[in-house]
Amino acid sequence: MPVADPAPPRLLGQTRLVPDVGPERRGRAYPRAATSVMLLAPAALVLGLFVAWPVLRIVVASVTDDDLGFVGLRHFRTALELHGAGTVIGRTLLWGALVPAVVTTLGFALAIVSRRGRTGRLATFVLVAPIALPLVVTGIVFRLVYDPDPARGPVSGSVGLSFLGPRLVTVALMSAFVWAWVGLALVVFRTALDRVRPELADAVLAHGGGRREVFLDARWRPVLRRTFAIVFALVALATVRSFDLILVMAPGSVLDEASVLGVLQWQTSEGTTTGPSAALGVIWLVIVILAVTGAAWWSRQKWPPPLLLTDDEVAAADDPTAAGMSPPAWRQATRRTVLLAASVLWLFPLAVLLGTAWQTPRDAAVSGWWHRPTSLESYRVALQGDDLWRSLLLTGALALVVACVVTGVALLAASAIAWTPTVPAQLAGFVLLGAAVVPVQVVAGPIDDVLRTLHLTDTTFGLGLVHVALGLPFAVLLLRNALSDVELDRLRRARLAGRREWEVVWNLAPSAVTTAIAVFVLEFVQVWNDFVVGLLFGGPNAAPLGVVLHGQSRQFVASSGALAASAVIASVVPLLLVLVVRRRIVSGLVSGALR
Amino acid sequence: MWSVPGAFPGGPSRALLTQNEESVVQVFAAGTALAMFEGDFVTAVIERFATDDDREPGFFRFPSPTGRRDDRPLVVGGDAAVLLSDTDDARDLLHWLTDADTFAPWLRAGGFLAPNVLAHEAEHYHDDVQRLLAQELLTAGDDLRFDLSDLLAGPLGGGEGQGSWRILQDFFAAATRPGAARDEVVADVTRRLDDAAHSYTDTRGIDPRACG
Repeated sequence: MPVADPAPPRLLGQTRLVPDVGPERRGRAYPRAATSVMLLAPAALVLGLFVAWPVLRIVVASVTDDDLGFVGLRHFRTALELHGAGTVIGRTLLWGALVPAVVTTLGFALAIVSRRGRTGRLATFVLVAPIALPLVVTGIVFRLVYDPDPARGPVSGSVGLSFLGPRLVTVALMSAFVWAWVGLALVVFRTALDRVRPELADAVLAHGGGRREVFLDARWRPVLRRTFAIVFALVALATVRSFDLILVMAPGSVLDEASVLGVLQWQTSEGTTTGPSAALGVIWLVIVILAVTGAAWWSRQKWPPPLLLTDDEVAAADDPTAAGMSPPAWRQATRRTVLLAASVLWLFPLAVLLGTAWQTPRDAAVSGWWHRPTSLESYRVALQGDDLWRSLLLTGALALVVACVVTGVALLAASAIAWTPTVPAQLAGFVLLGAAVVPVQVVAGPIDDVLRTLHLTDTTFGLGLVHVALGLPFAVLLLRNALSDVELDRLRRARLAGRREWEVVWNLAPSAVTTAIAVFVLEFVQVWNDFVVGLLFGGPNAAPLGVVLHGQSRQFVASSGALAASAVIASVVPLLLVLVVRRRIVSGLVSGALR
Repeated sequence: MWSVPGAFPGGPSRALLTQNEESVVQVFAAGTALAMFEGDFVTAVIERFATDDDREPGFFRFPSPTGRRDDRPLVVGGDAAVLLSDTDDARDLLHWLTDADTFAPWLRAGGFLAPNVLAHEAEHYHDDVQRLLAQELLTAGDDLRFDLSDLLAGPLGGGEGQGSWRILQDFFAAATRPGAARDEVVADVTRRLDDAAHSYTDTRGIDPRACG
């Protein structure tokens, strides 16, 4: 009986594969050019139609008149002379700077206090929940919290300030946004902190460093600086979505005081491409591109990358039975107090929503959310007729199909660019990053033109296509990062075993499963929670959930009971989904963000 | 009238945050207000919030700015049907749309008034208030004025918080501010409305005199 051979199974009979002369390079495994083109085709088609062409059209429209004659900077002057345009640009920048600063700082502080123990895990659970809610629902929640009527809104009643009035409306909006996003920052920071090698701190201490040096040399420089930059940039880009919040939360009379570029653009363009609105769009694009470039420079990676703990090591360190010094009792008590306070603060808005939904529509309009007796009448009113049911079904089907298509198409495109030579790959990365950050309001006019040409205006299919185009760039980037981490050996084996290119992709797909699941769930939640795409490109025949909720919020007080009930119903699916697969989402996201 | 203390529940700045259906709640459910300025379509909202022991809502036409009793135009909003291609089918559709029986289900549901004499006679109306309002509509004659504010374009148009909406809202805020100088406030709003109208006619190449 032959002895088991410890060596890896040999391929192609007895022939032993000998690596090429010279250093190992991924270049040995490049796919053929024709195959790459085929893998990239679906993504390129959708992105070309719904991102590249619209951006080009906007840039051209900003410097030409209706007959494509060059007009120089005339449209820019008109746009900046628009009533309050300067203030609006300033406010947009304030959103992009202040909100991420608060979210990163708060998220980091909470990450440190919630790292260990059961209270920490519980608090994380509470703090992460809001990120899953549609921003339209967040807007509804905080409009209830800040209700200017003292009989209904205890916050305005006790503080005596009109939070939804012209002076404070932006503060109210920002607080809602921070409430929604701190959870994400917290989770990312915690993952980053967990992966810092404890030996580094020991080494710094051994060399006579103090607490400050430990933080700077063992935490900040190896990992945290980059994580800070990435979280900051992510949240800054996400402030584009303040659009949803503003349209739901700000009463019509203070819309001007709350307005940001997205709202102004939407108001001035009225769904078509006009010179001044294109000029505003170009200004906005330039700001976004400058910000992304800055963030990329700030978060650039030293080579070689720092050694981080693997998943198994993190799990071992988290084991409560593992020996370790426990911090002094007073510090533990402080931590617990901070965590409890944060949890209560974060649960309060949810309590307001549930409390309002738990009353008859009449009570919800007249008295506060704490009012008794409770009733299910509002839920009954919300589900009356088939409006909500229909949009729930439509949104669910749309989200499912879009998430499947995005994951599939992105996987093909990612496998084409994950192992291409450096220069084209970097170029593709830049283009995708650019496409991922284009605010949809900027290109709304040209996208509408494309949809009209294809006879897809006000159809679910058209909405789906726009969603696919908007979701693809980020999905491809994430999957590319995951696939390019595949070990060289496996890649070669897959190339030798697969006779056709799709077999190679199929063989390698399992290594990107975690990221693919993250992409799928993120895309599903994104489409489910969407408001802006539905508002810009939907219509009576394609009215997704966000648009239906926004429609109801136009008569806020009179319908707040039913509206709160609808909001609760709309939040259940994304909330459950995100809470169930949150670990996979985080590890899928972080695998790209930390490396 | 605006400057009367207590004219608006919670004060004028609070009034700017009140949506139109909320004003119905203030009158019929919360009891913080006694009257409101609304269109007839709020009757459906009133029904949702009024309790059985509430009295039937009454109404009166807005007083005339000149103070004369006979000078109170009836301001209405409505839809007009236009025949774009003169075919038999199109005529049939238009006849059907303006037929008295076609309105019946809408009239019964409330929140809808028909300028059709026959529809009124058919007494399909939902309640007495609607019937009285319809009577006013039919007897208004030349006093009927269409409020075309929805159709204002350019710097005067736009939705909530934009265009003339914005200008009038700022006017309200300025006029109700304690110690506001009446002449200044009026001059300011007149100037802004003028500017907006001119910048619109300028960009469109319309002669303002031609508009009347």
